[in-house]
Amino acid sequence: MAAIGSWAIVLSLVVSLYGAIAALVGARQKSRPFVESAERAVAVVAILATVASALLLYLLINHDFQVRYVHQYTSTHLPLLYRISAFWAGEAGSLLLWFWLQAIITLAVVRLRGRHGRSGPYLLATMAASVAFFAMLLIGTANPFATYASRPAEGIGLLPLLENPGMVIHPPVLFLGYAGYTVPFAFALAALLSGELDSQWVKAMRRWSLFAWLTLGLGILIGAWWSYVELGWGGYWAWDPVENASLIPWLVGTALLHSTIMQERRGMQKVWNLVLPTLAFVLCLFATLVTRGGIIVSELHGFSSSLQPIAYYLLASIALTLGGTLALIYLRRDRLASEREVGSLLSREGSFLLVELLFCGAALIVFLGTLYPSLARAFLGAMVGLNASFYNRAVGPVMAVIIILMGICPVIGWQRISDKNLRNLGSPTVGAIVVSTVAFILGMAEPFPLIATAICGFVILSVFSTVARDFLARRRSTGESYARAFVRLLSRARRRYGAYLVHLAIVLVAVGVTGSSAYKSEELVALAPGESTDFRGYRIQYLDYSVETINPEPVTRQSRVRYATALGVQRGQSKAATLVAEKNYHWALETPWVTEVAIKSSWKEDLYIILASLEESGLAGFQFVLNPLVSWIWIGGGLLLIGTLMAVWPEGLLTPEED
Amino acid sequence: MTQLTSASQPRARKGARGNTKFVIGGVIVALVILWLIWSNIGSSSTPYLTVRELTAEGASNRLVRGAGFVVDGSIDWDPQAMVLRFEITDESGTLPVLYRGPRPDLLEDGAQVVVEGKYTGEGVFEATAVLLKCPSKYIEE
Repeated sequence: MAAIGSWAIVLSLVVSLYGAIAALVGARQKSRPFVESAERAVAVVAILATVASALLLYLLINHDFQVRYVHQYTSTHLPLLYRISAFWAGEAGSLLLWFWLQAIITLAVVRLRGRHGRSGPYLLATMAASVAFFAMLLIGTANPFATYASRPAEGIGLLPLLENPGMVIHPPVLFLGYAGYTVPFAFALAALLSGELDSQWVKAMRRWSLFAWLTLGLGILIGAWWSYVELGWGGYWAWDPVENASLIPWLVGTALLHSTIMQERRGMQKVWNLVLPTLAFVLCLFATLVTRGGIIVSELHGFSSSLQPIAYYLLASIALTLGGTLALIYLRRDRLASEREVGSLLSREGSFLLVELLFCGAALIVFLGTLYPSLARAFLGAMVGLNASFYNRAVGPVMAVIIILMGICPVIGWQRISDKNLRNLGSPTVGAIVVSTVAFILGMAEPFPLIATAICGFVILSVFSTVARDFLARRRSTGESYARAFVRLLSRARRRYGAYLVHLAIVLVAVGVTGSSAYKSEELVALAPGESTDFRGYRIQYLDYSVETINPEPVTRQSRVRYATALGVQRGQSKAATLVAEKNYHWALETPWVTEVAIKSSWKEDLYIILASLEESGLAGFQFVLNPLVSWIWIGGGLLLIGTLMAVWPEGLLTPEED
Repeated sequence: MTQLTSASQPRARKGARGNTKFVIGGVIVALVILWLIWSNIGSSSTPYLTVRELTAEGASNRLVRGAGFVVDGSIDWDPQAMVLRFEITDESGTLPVLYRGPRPDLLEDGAQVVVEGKYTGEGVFEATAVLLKCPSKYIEE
């Protein structure tokens, strides 16, 4: 049965290649039948990819251990949810997921694009080629349908770290972002190939760019959440190469969101809007190169130390994409001149340009930092590690300026800053000074949180006062009731207010990051059962411990000895809560110990308890961590989703003068 | 199309002149970014030294990393005080390590380990982090 899956992938490669070529021929010869044939090919590939994916899912759910992938990543001990998520637990399955999403998105682009004149067939060709590329990767490097000659009785099982709800949704959402970034690139390439370089294609691309940006961003946040609740080291972001690799395309994608607006509204930055989608797309491939390709040097991670076969495919496609697109941009350079002069540096144009530069700069910092140990080894022959302080010190100031700009930008006008604009910036500035002074009086003494408080306060006040001014102006001019005026205001310019909401979401994430990095406190305490201790206003009692063996037979990665400690936690006069912190010994694993932390979360702070050690006598070592304001990072993620949905929701009444 | 091209030509030239200050601004931003990278990459990177290099250098406040294998029978863990002592060895020698903190789960005789910290000069490496090589985490993910 697994053979059907393999053949579906091979057939997808053939059909999608045919689709790409037919679309190109159709574009060259202006032949409608060729293009329609290519459209049908894309639909067929979507069906084939769905068949292959459904088949793998079926095999995983039904424990068909004769299939190598099923054997490697599942066991009979695994509950249904994690048999499903085992789909993306390994390289071959992840690539199949990416391939499937790519095929579905390609079909969606073809169905939704409407009439795109001469560029349409090129768009179709690029998307079909991207699907073919992933089919080729699957066939050439990792076939999820490979089988054994005989059928093992039991599977090896899923890595316990992946048995977490975060890992059920993190990879699909992230890959949706990666696959999504093919679309803006395909639009850009189609515009270059067809020569239809007016701003129409940018308008059509915008929603896809937001879609990819949102899913990639949420994917990163869900990954951070997983790292926080599952890896048990007390933090959510370690500037690990894998995390960095997903952040880089997102940073470039954020620059793209802004340059798109510049072209739509002002007819500027035409070259940027071709280069940035290309970079975002190529950096998504680079992310896979980092996680799977073996280019990263690390003493700690089990990254493969030599280049893997997949690396050659990825490097070749990165080189081809960059070279081809840049050459085309050079050839078309005469048609890419800006329609407007940029006016003053102190204008909305100026701050958009600055923000884009800063996002690209932040991406460059993370990119070079990630590659630094590899480059040092290759060129200097030295083993060097780069710790997180590099990123905090280099990216931190850049992010601070970006966040300040979020407060300035909505207030100042296109072309130049006016006296009225300056007056409107006055009150948020005064407000920010007041807020940070109050914080200082209340005991905030260090410069980093004080500056962060001032910046966040400034942006929040600036955005709210902008909305308030718009609202009052609307009510004065229309005489509508308060509620009606407010709803009308927001629905008339959803893109604009959606963007404000997204900016506020980023501020909330910044608040969470600031609080948890500036005021994190930890303590190591050894306690015997029954003993209690005080930690930052919490009364913590070590109640009891238990040892139990779970899934002893047959031995899989799910077989474990569970060492659990129960803790009574009380803050002030509140009711005591019982938390359980565990350590699990999975004896089938090379790295057998997996920690399960206990977290008591509130809007103000998280109490995070790690069971560090447990002696036979019951004497336990606990690491208590207090992480202030962490919840705001996840709340910010929710607001990011709402704001982006508001901005992309199909609009009825948007006029170009909206801004 | 040709009309469009010719129409945008003069504007492009005019724009290029008006763009000078933006080019200068962009270059300044790029320089600041490069400076941020350059000024931080040295202080944040921790070189790997062999045991012989560490002992030869003597006491130092520099954050460095040492890598090696845990010497059989050298692990001494005090769970009450949470103090961990062990020795690591590479081809060049053996080094006693002191670490205040929870005992890493994977620390056992013969384990491959990376220690980050400072060499005190009194023959002991005071580790701020004990990192164990985790062979399968990312390959399997």
